[in-house]
Amino acid sequence: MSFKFQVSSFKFPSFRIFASLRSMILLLWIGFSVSAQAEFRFPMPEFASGYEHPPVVVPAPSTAMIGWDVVVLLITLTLAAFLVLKRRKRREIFLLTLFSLIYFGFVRNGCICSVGSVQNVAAGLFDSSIGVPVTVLIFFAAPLIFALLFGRVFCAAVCPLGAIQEMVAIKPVKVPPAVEKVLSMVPVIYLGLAMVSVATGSGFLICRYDPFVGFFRMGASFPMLLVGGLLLLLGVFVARPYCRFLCPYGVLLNWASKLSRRHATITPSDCIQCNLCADSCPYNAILEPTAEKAPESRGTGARRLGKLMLLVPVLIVIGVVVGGLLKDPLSRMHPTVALAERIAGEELGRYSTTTIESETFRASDTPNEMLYEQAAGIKGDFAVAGRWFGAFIGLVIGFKLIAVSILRKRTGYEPDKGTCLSCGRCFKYCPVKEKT
Amino acid sequence: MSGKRRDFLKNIVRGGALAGIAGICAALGMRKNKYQCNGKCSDCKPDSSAECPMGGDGYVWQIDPEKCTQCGRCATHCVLAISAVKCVHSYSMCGYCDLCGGYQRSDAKGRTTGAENQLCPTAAISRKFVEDPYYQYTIDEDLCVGCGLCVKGCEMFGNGSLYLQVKHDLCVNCNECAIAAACPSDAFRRVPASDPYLLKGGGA
Amino acid sequence: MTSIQKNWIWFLAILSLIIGSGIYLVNSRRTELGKSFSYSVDEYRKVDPALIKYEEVDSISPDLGKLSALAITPDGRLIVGGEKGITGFPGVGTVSCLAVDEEGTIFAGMSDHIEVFPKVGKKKIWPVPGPKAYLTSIAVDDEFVFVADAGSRCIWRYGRDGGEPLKLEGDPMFYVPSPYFDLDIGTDGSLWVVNPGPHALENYRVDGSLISSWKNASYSIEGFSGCCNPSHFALMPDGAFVTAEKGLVRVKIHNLDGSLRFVVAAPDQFDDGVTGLDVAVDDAGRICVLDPSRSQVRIFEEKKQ
Repeated sequence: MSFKFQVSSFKFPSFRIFASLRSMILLLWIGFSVSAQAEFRFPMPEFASGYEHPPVVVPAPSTAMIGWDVVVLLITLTLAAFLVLKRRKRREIFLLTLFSLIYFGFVRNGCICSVGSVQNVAAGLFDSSIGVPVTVLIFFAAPLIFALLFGRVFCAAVCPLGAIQEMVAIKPVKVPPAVEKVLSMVPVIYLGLAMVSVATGSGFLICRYDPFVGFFRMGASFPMLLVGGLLLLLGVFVARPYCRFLCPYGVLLNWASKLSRRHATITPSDCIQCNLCADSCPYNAILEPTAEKAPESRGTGARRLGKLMLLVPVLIVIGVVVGGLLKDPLSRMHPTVALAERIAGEELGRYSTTTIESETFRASDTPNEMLYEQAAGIKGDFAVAGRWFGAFIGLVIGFKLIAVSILRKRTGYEPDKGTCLSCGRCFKYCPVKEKT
Repeated sequence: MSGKRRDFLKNIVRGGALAGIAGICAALGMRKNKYQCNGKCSDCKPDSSAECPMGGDGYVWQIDPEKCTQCGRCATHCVLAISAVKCVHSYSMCGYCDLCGGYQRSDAKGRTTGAENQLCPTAAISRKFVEDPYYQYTIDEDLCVGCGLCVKGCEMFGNGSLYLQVKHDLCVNCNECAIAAACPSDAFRRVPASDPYLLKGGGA
Repeated sequence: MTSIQKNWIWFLAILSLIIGSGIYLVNSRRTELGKSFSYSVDEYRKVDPALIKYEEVDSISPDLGKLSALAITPDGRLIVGGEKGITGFPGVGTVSCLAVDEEGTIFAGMSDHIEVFPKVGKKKIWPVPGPKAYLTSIAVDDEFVFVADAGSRCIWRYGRDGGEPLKLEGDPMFYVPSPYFDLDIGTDGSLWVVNPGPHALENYRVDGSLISSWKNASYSIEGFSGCCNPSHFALMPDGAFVTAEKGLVRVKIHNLDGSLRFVVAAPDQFDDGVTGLDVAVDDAGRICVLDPSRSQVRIFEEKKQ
């Protein structure tokens, strides 16, 4: 039967915000050619011996566990909050982490996870025809809500990716704070790129480059297992490298945790400034108490703050410009654009062989011009998405600069509400006893 | 800024964030079904131009046999060691031919079950005599790797009763299916978990 | 070297390994299946040009939607059937097969019944018995109207005025795996039928008894490929067979004993996967081939030497 190629703006899952009308027309055109053949069914031959064909076995997917996932998630989140804020025992937190690793990681194969749920929610927001299952919504919202109330308890003991890294963080070394601050932009960039990818229909980057899911489901390509293994090796020395320097969901949890109503505290009552806790934290998440006297006058501080606040719109504009310029390299992550460039290159003789994609495209009836037109449309989408991405990065850089410049008075050792993962290591080291 | 004012501002922003998250969840969770299927998956038009918004029981991945071009990537790109994609035989569409286009190589020396005559590289199709001149062909799923050679042969020289489908007792239902990302003919689609197969021939 | 420096070296080494493997990951592709998984019939698509003795001289594009049937009147006019009706009778519905008699009466198989359109007068409807009827071919001569029913795997023989048909079940049976089942009436009044399963052409008397048959199941140019071919055929004025196949799409002429005479059109002259190549021959020996994928009737003539 003849096969019509669908010029793909509808790569799985099919979200297209800006050109859905174009693709809809294409698909309807295909629908007509396909559905006409589907109506007539040629009857089976007559079997004199009374033969009956075996049934076609179509096993249903096991959705039985999905409801349980939500229940277990909420229970472990609540338990984590309780253990971090009330019980304050590192060993118990660690045991809960181990449970989460086994359940969310190996039993449930690490999918669906909260880290990836950002993409599903974003897809639903960008394209109104996409539905988001309630399970995914809860996986997205519950850790954030708990972070707004109790801090990053999700990271502490519930997230399977964090859990697997926590298991190997045996000999942590301290990353210099300056390096840490710079590298903390990487997850923001990753989040931005993931959103660009979702908005333009190029796929789920966070899922594609999830380093640990290969271990959880016992199956992945060699490069994925290699990266995962090396990250775990690094994780022996640099604790939780994915969480601190890559996790895009961690950006949102960081912001939510900064606003948290209650957060893990290092001491149960008043800090005696013994400094034992700061050494124990592998994540540079403990802030030192400030000196008695303010190092500079209020006026200097205010003037600097004012200048930095004026810098923010400048950074945003720079971001918009740079982001728009990125449309060509970024757009190659979309398969239609990659195919268009491949076909154009083959036509010009730049390649000596063909790929399966280009051969399949040529075997279809779609003219090259339609493909190029689609690709150009998608590139336009990438220009828009790139500008938003640039603005977002500019904004975040601006705010980070402001945050660095603001000095908050601290009388004791406090966890940095944004980066503290509430793991509870410091609880062990604090000599202060609970007030009776 | 004094502590009290800071706390007050924080409360406002926190409240706003909570409201925002709740709002997103409500908007997405209550998304109305825009399709005339009225929630019945059996009424869904398979060539509908947008994704199924039925969020209730989640989605699973499936191959549209009308679009598949049997490129072989179903066998290589699944994240599992043995692909979750297997060949399915729609018996009601089969011609029960002696000379089966999906079973035999085009340069077969004879119509026997000899391995050198079989198209399937893993000998997953078994042939059984029913009555003259009809033969039944069955697929052994433990041997099938989902390479699609038999599908190609059956499509070209037969009735097209052999085709690839994702088997949901095997599939782990990744959020992003690696095969779907690599499919050159965009044959993968998300379907509701309550109706997870796109069968030819009415499902028989 | 201090331990801090050593730590830094380790850190940088592992970090560069990770970045390197990350780049490797982003650029990596899964390997495709190897040679043992390849299946290509390209060698059968190549036809020795010396065998192709016909060339396409003309084509007609009737506006009837998806084309499905073809017939030639005794005076050489083309009657085409499609989704939107028949030449001269638009809007009658989808036609599955056509035949025309000397008076110009059109006999149209409409999937599960026959409609007869005389040149003057009202159309008549002849019902076809059986629940599984799917008509794929009609042929007419002075006495009878034969219609091939692929669904019921038999041939119905009607009188010229219709009436109760006689069921011809073949000898021993017609083996029809797919809805392609063609017949034609020879100049001697006997019936030639394709038995698609065994790739045979069988000759029957009008009472259904077998006279002779020949078959050739092969992917090479001399035979009929796949599971059920030839999908269509027509008889030339000298009794030779013009055959059209699906799967490995080609149109050939076979002699009366079944051997290959000429190739009319090789696979590369058709779109991939096209089916429904109804063929008809006019008295001058021009071969008309219905091409549904291009919505055309393509006319081939013997090459002038």
